Amino acid sequence: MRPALRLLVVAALLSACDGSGDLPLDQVDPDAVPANPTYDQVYAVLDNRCVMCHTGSDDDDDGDGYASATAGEAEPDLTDCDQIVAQRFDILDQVEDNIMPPGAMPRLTSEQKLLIQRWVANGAPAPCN
Amino acid sequence: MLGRVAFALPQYAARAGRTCDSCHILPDWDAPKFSERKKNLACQTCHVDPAGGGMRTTAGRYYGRATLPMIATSPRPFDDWDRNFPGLGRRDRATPYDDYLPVGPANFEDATAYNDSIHDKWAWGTPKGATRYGPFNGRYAKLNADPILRIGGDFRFATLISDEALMFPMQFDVGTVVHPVHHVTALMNIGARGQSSGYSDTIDDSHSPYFRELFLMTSEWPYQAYAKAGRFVPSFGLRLDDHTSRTRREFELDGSLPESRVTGVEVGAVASYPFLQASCFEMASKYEAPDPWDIFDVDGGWGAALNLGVREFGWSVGASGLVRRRSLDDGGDTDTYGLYGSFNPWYYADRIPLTLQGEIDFGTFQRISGNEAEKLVWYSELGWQLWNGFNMILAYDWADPDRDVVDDQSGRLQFGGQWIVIPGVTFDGRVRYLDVATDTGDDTDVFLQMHIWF
Repeated sequence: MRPALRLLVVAALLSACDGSGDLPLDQVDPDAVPANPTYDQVYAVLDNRCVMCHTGSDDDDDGDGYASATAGEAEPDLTDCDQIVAQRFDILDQVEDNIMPPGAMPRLTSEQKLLIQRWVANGAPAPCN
Repeated sequence: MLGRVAFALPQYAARAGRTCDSCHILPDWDAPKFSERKKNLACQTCHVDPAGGGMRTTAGRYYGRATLPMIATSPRPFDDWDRNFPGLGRRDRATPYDDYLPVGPANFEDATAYNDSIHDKWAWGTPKGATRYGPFNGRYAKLNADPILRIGGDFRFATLISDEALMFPMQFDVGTVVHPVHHVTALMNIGARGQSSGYSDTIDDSHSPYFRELFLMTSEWPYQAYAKAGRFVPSFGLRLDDHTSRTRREFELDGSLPESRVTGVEVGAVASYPFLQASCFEMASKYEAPDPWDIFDVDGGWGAALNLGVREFGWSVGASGLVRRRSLDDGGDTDTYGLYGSFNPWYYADRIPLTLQGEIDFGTFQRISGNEAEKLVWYSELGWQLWNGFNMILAYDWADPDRDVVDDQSGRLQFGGQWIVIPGVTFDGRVRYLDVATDTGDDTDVFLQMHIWF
């Protein structure tokens, strides 16, 4: 490949992969998620992205030889409605700041974050409150 | 071609053209006519599912025994004889180490003489109606070349170290292949979706275990044509075994999720060297995991996929397209297009044991509002085969899940290696760094895996 052509290909790839839009999702598309998200919609996100670790298990309480992410600590059980409601601000902070999911796991999408944000802003309606 | 498997993947497939005797009996093999050739480096050469992954064919099992591990239990290809770990030398007892591999019959007529030499713990029987160009005994050492019944497994145990260490079962798959007569195969693969909270939670998950694959297939037709009907993941792009890769996850192709499975029909042909695969299917709602045991729980809409390209010995290029049509309540419409390829310098120069592969995907989707948005994802990987059984990997993936939204893109760099000690046992270790667009959230973890496969 000629140097000029190679440079063009690289430039095209880089330009395609630079920063995305200029606005947060709620300004780009105010209706991108429901104005009043339900508990079920929020729980679906938590179930898909969080519950695999945050089940509230203690150190190996099921005797399977493994501790959960919450071993020895008072972290939320995100299968429990009461705890989800009680910990809603922490949950929101963690996902909005991209702290959770941890490590190099892909973070929540803007849509998922906005869903949780609006649910919290609306008073976190849930079957348990 | 006949031969090659493994737990990873497209990269090992891209390398398969380097060693002739991983497929051919040298030097006297009579090449079959063009339409019967299997020299295609395709997924279906090593895996029962033409889309790749899961249960292996006998050629795949043989590749996993002869080529991939540090200690081979089937004769190793000639070009790899002196690529052993320093100090280990030529220790495996399976390889003759004195000439090319005159292992097995040169043709169909000679094959019956090898029937008594078969000792295969995981395969039974011989189907009726064997044809001249079907797999035949003797070529795969002691493996049953074309069994009626095969049982296999795929178990992964993972440790994720970030702020704390998590040890968890990541994947538990048990597969069965029934092949009663030539051209007809049924595949059932039951898998549990791993939960980092432990074994009991993995099994207690209401959507796990579940049918990962369940289909009936007719195959081994001219140009390696096939048709399958049932539950599967549509053929699209590089089928990486990392379910967190955004080229899979962003387009609902995450192999760990029941929601990624569809029910439909796929037809394809994989000649030497062009390939074409097309499918149409129905699927469950994006927002609701389907019944784990009902493959017809697919009232969320329909879709279609097309995958085509050319796989040469030293390189490959492919293009994929996938559309989904469904109501907004079930996830909305999506259109996804991908380009992918590989380049294997090792095929051209023995001193360069490198393999590159990459994929770039562009897609449109509907937000819940009904408005259309775009996403862009790419993946790239460089593999360096240090010695037999040792593969170093440098990979980078990048995703912008909504092109209109600020600061939602992220990139992830991975560096690590795979060590296949013996056939069926792989250790994989990676350091991964996630770079997110916002001020907070960049993080590093170490991901370790032990993979048992047979």
